[in-house]
Amino acid sequence: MNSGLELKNVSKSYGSFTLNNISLSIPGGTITGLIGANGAGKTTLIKCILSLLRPEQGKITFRGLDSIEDEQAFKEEIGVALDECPYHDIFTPPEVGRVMAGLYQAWDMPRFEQYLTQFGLPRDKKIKTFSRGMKMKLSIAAALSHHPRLLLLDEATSGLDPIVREEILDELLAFIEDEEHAVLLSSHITSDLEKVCDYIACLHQGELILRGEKDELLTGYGRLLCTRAELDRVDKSLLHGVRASQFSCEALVKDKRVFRQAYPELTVDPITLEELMLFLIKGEVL
Amino acid sequence: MTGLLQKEFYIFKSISKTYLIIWCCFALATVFQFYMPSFFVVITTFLFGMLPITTMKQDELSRWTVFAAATPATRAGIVNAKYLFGVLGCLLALAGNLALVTALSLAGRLEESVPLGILLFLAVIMFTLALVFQALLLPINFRFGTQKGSIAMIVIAAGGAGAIIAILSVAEVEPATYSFAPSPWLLVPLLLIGFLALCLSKKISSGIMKKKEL
Repeated sequence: MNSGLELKNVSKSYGSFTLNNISLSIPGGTITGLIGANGAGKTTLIKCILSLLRPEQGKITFRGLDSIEDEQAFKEEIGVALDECPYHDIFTPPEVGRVMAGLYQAWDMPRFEQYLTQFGLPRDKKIKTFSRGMKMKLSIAAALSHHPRLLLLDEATSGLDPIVREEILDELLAFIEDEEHAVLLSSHITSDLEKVCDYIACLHQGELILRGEKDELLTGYGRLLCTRAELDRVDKSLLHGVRASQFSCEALVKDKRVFRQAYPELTVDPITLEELMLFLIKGEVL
Repeated sequence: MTGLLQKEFYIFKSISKTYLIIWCCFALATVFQFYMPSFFVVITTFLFGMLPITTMKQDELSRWTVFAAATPATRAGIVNAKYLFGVLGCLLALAGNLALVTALSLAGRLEESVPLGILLFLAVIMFTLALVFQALLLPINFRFGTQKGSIAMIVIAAGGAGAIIAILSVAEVEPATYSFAPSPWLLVPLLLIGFLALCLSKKISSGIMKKKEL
């Protein structure tokens, strides 16, 4: 795998919020999902990568290009789709194309036209007549039309219906068929991330509390559903967090295989990304 | 930067009909002598001088600036394009003003109002004032956004109105008693002041944008 985006010890204080010492690597040919609650720091991290916010410390590079020192070359390599379509309502898609052609050296108009056709976007209509899904498809079409090697998507699929989301996710999968391409996708919709991501990074209150290969995380972690009495006799070092209710307890098991060997009588279920995130963020730490 | 300028022109294209209608209304009112040609010069220069602020409001609505700063256009490009577009807006106003007052003069409709020389002089002074107006407003809008920038605009416009009224009071003196013959050479330092103010302002705006958290 090629080295892609590298974040080393990135810190940024922003109002009362601090993004604390984040180190993250996004290899080529992969999609990394960035998860976390609202205000966890996902957008702040993406803005730091794009130099929209200046980190107080740390270094961000992509294929050896520094985000500050080689700003223009760095940004030529990146396709960006933010949570809202940034193009003026009065523009038509071809006008967007002509504006973008003046921003990116490698802008490929035929490719943009091809995406407009593929996504079924009308050329003669103004953006103000577009639905949210159409606007987001336009953003992604523009983000892909200058031959970027890295795609940064900040909540780009939120608020979209499953059909449009599926189309966008398919496009992301096609994009990373090239081993030099990588995607960082921040989303609340963990089911989307489960479908397409190779790696997961979870932010909580500005800290990177989890990172790893998605398949390893989902096959390693498990969910124990038991009574309080059963929980009391379990070795707590095998668990990560607990959520207790009046009638039962749920615990996050660190390693399903090891736990099943130690407690074959207890049932450990597979865990979803959403449950994993909830445990990590809201679970009582043992 | 060409993409950023193109974006400005697309926004202008979308409001150009309104601008053209306003310009034509004022031009017709001036031709039929509803008011002095000097009023037309002041109003149209102000209207076109406001163009970069108008497009900045549109940029804020669509969160364009954040996106543009994430592209290779960079923050410096955003500032440069806005200032360049501002100057082009002022030049457009100047061209319109010169065309109309020259046409009025050729049609012999200026005899009872203001001499052509004074009007041309006024048009260039207004062009300079519009540059200064932009020089004052653009850094404020880059720093605080267009909402707070609007308040600053009212304050600056109120202050500027005093200057304009003073200019008009000079320009509208009866031709018979008019004793001031403006030298074209006087325009050179005036224009220089306008462009210097704009250059200084651009430097300040670049500094603001460089540090701004988007």
